[in-house]
Amino acid sequence: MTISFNRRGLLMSTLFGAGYVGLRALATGLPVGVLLKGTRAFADGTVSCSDAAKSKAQYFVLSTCGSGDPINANVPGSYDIAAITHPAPTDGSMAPTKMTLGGVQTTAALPWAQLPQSTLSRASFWHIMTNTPVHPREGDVLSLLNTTAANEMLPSLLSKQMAPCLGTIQSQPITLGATTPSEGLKFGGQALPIIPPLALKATLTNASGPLAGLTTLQSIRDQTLAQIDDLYRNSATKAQSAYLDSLILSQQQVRGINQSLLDSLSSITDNSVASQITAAVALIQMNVTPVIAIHIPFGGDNHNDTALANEAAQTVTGVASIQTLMTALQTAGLQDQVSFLSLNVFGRTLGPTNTDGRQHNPNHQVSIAIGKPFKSMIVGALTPVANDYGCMPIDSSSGMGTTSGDIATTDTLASFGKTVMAAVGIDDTTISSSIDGGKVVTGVLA
Amino acid sequence: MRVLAACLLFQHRMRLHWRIAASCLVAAVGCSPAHYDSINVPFDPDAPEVYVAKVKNILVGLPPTDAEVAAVKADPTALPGLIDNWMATPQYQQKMMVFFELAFQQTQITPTDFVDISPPNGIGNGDQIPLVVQNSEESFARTVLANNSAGSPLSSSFTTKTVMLTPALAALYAYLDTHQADDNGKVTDVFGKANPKLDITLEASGGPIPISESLDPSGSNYMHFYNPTITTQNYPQADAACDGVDPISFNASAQNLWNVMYGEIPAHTVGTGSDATQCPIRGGSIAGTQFAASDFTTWNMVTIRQPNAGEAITNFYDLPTLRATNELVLDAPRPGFFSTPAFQTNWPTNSSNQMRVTLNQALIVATGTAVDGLDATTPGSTPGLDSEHAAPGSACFGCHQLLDPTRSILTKTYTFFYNSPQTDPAFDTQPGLFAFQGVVQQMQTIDDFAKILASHPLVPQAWAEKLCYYANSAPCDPSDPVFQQIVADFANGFSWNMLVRELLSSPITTNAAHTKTYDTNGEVIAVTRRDHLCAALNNRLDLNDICQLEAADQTGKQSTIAQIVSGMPSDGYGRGAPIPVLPNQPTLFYRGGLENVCANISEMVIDAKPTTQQPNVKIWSSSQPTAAIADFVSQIMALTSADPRAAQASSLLTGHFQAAEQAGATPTDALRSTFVAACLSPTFIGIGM
Repeated sequence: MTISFNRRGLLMSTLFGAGYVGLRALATGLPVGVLLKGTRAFADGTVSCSDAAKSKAQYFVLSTCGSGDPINANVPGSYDIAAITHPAPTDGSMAPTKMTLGGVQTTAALPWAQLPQSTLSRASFWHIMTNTPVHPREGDVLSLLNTTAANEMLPSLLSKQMAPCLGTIQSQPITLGATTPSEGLKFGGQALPIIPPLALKATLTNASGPLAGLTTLQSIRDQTLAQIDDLYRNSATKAQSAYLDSLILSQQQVRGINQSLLDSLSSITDNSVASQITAAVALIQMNVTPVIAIHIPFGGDNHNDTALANEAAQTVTGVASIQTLMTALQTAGLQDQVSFLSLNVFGRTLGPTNTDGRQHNPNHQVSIAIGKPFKSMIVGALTPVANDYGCMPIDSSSGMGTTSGDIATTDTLASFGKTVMAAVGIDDTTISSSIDGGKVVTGVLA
Repeated sequence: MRVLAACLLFQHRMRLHWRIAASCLVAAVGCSPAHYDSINVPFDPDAPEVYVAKVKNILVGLPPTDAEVAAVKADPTALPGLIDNWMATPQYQQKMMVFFELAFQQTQITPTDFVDISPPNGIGNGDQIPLVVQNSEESFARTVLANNSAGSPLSSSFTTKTVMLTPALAALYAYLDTHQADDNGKVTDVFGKANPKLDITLEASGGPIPISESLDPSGSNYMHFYNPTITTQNYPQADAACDGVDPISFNASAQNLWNVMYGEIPAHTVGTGSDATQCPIRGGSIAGTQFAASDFTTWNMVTIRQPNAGEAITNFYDLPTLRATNELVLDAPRPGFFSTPAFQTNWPTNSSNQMRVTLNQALIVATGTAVDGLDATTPGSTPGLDSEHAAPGSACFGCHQLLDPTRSILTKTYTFFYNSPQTDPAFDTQPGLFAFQGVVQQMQTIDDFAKILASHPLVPQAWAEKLCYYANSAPCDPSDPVFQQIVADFANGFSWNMLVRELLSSPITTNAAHTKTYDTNGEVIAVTRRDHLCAALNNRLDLNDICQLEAADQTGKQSTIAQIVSGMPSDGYGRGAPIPVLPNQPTLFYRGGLENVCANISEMVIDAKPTTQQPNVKIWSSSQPTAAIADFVSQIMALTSADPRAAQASSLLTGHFQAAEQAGATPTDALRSTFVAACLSPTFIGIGM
């Protein structure tokens, strides 16, 4: 026992001494020495937070879906070609409407045009391609079609890089809104659980009412649990020992949750998009993780959608949900610290035959980036491809879609990832080693 | 290398005796850990206390007994016999049912998803609809379990037309066969066409009408159904003329009759002429249902066959017959796992997809492999190849040349809503050609497809791998000689229970001796995922579905425990993914959630009383903490008295109880906290600890 306590004491002091540096090391996977030495980059790929990243670090709320929603059909930049089909409900809710992005006039469906200037002034609409028409490749698309190092997903790349900058409790992203396991995230090759808002609320809130006494005994119980962990460690294999370390880390992360901020979860009564947004903002306020994935529907897998009615209805609610997030961030004073991103498995076909439904489009998907690091603009453009429409090459300096662009269409997805990384101050070397292919689109960086 | 080869050869030969400890291996052939070190794979064997607890927990969710651990310590070859005993328990049946539901991809569906196979309104929203949906999720797993118990090979389940059904599920099968939809979703109401002038009447004031009278065409109550809720209905969105009318009548469509059976009140008209008022559909309550509770809990093997010439299909509303029959006569053929309503609802198709997702998921279930563009199989011909993807060498051709001919047998058999025989000449004459992973065979019927799936050479390894994931949270190395022998043995007869016995007692699972899978994966310790966790809680504490995973337990407010476990790592599968998605690592959410789960359970088991929901729950008294703590160690922490850790664990828990009391906690809270500590112990929340 004595030895166990000593081992435990050593572990705990290493973990929680010197500004939680040990805990941070476990959470980020960085050597303790790296964290103690401050901001440095290393050749082996591990990084601490550079000065640039410190000043530009952002949390991200990412909306992603594997159904390939028709966001690409009605955003700014999708009205430049007359033959493209848009829903036209009689209530006018999707009427083509002129609007201005970064001083440039364009057209979009009414919901986009009605977004407040505070949102539009930092909103970029990326006309890119995911190069797949296959639903199950959602994970591959999140890994930028396998151009990332070790197939790490973009949200995980961002999360890993931003965690030391933001000092978050954990470096893994969190998935709140995935509707199937296919939409779940991985971090370092490990699948992450999907935690709907109701589960999150019930998970993080300390026992109360008749069980309040258990909360009072938490610190005593933590001591006992530590002793139990040590007991197991005495006869543990290396793998079992590693698991015990993970348990200890997860326990300390739980205790790192600021219970006073959990009140913001009290309004959650379901797993709706609104609840996902509430939970996401609360998790950011609690500094739990840099990246939170949600699912905002924009019409779904709408092969059969008479008069594109569902697409219209969900575009209205989807855009409203984005604005709900923006408003919530502003209320929380987080509007300059959080960016919104969207990335779906693919977009939909756009041509004149798509009046009652759309098919998968590997050549065009629109990602949205809204946040302080981004200029208000349309990145890329549409052009006829095969029997439908696809994205154009992009000029990396201006962000414009042009046939002479130095970013090939097949590199636009990787370029989106690289640009988001650059937007939050991640250095070129890290970006290059993290994503193979594509270029940073400097023209969209604020 | 020669020594290593000798080690592997020895393991291969000792496959029926691999429960021997690593030391025995060393003594036998001189293999030592140093030899493994020489290939940079240091090996830590697990002790019998650890792996007996792991295997029993996986199979039945219970802790090992002193005698069981002692038996394996004395003779490692005793483990298979113990596994046989565990496999004979109802807890094993329950756990395997969950496994087969997932493995055959019959889950991850909700009532609203049925709109994809029963347009335009799905199967309704009566209070009992979730029960029949759960029936549909369980049905095929129960079928496989029954076949296993009867000694049938697992592969026979791929082709079976005899499935476990409840009367309610049999009614659903028959309803789907009656409410047919073509490729465009246009519904043909077989029942309505046969009864064009028939009305259905709902009434209350006359009192209950036996279902036998409602179904007797010669009686005055034919198609009159009792529903006492009609008198209390309010229609705030319609005219008050709709409120509380008794009786009400409407046309006898299959959908209306189906809704009536679930207590719903279909859209109808009251009054006539200029006084006519349209009243919308109202949700179904149990008070108005025609089903008995037992219609959702009574399971029987039922053979589904197509009608002989001139023979009518089974009436979906004939509950007395459905309760007694062991045969359903349906137009749509229903062989194997891929034609169940649950599988079809899980993987809907459409005019664009044209059964490709259905096929791919069926291949994944059967063979563990998806059409991925890497399969070098040459089909020879490509019947059904989509012209848009027909250019050899194009990006899509590689997949479509295999997908399209193989799925043709599905589009030939069913419409895109599955439950109706295909009549579109563009499809119904399309011959199928199975072409996948080295197997190329002509198909004429959907039964041919089922048979080819069942005999595909990848099936044995695929199903052994599914069990690897279930038991070890990781794949087995296909090149592992131990695994290869297990697969070979399974291929010889497809005995599922033998596969379970061999794999669960092998060093791949026990980690008692070195394996190539260990070299590949290391020893995988995983969080106790949702299904294992809930089973362990239920079985160790005599709780009834504490996680509210059963539809029957989801009718009221979701408990805190149910909310938490909905976000816990679980065994899931994704579209197009040949391997399950298994979160294995503990996170702050896992730890925090479990702490709250354990806290909520402590309220039920410490100084508590049985409840209606939990009448048999194990309860401990804070006035007898020693006895309670002894149980916590053995039942929750799964440490037998002979386990070197048991005494210290007991001491630590006792110390915690005393410290809590000294801190001012009541004895009840002190023992609850002690329970939570045991509940959060590594053996309870980690598989392989």
